Amino acid sequence: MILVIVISYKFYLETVLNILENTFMTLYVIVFIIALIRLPLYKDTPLKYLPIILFITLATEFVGQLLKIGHRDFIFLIYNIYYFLYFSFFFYVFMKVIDVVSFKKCIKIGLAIFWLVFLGDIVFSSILKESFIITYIVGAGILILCIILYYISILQSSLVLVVKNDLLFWISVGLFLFYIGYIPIKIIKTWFYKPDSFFEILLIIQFSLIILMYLFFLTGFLWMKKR
Amino acid sequence: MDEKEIIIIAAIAIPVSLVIIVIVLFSVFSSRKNRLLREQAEAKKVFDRELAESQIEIREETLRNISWELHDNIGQLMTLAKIQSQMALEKPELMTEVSKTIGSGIDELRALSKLINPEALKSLSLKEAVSLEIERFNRLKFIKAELIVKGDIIPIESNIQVIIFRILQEFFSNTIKHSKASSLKVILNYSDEELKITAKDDGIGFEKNDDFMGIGLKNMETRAKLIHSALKIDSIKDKGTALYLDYNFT
Repeated sequence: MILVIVISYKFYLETVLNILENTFMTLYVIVFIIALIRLPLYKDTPLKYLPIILFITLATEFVGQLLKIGHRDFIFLIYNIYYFLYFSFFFYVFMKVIDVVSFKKCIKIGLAIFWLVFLGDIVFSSILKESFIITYIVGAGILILCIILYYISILQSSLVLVVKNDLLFWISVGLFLFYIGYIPIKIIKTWFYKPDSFFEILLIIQFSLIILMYLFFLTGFLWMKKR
Repeated sequence: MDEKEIIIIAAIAIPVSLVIIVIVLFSVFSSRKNRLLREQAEAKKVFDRELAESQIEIREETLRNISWELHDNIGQLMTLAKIQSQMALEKPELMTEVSKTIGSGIDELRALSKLINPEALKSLSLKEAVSLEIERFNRLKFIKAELIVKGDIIPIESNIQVIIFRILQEFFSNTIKHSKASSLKVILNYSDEELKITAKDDGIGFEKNDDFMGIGLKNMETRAKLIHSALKIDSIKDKGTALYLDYNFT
């Protein structure tokens, strides 16, 4: 009886994970297409490179899914380079968008720290055989800091009145909620992992966070207005 | 604490903290937005009040000017015409002089009626409104006044124009009433981005703590702030006073 419950529980978890995975992969494609369609509205802002990052994310996830089965070596390489591009891009965006000089300086220092940590990971670990966890956690932490600085700068200006129609605001809400939720999961997955179905609960939260983040991206693209 | 407990705690804490963050974000942004909207409504109210006050003051000033013109200019011409006509009873050849004087009086009346017409006043550009004031000063020999316009004239929104004109009128009024100046020079310098106004007299100047100038200055500064302009008034004792007003079009 207990065995049946355990098997059906595992089956249920796997089904939920499959559904969530398919959902976020579909969302990746939808958001990328809408980002391209709406590009004329934000082509004059630092976010103009966002479709490239969305495409790299989509391609990385897709290649990652394919390589899961066979050549695992390349997964780390691809993801490590992806982290570097992804975080550097968002630091650049926030640095360009925020007007407050002291905040800009903070982000520049954050960017320098991130690049140093990435360099450290290249030197002290293998880019082909290990995931750059420290780079990821430092990048995500600095990104959260950038978003907080961005929110403070919005709250100090009259931009708060039109924030509903601002693409970067929705993008930042999505990123903020995702990384606040995902950093603890990443830490637990890295340092406390044991092959156990319990960890799949965290995967469910992780996939839900991706869906939530992309739903915020989608809202931003659909509600945005040219300034 | 084993890894299962950690996972359970994380599984509960993450969604709960996300919900709290969303609620906090929403309430902070909406309260800030509401505060800003209230401040904007308040600023608009202050602007409207100052605009209405400026309009009333311009009207009062115009009525005062009309009264002076009627008394000092047209009144004098009519008195002269009366004397000439009395003399013409004995010397009929003087009738042409009487006719000339009455003709001048009629011309002055026409010019005045144009000034009184509120529609005409509304449709005037800043340059035309200032120019009328300068012409009046010269005609009534209050002061030797000059207007110089540089650059291509860019129309200004009428509400803003009223405020700018009132600031200048206040300055002119102080120059004529208190400065004992013999000349007044006004420069309107238009560029694509801004209008730089300079008004200078060669009067006795004033100390910043003079009461009448203190109140006038405060009024001018408040109004300049309302139209997001930079106002500077420099005065040197026995040398004169200068006003600098920069209005940004963007």
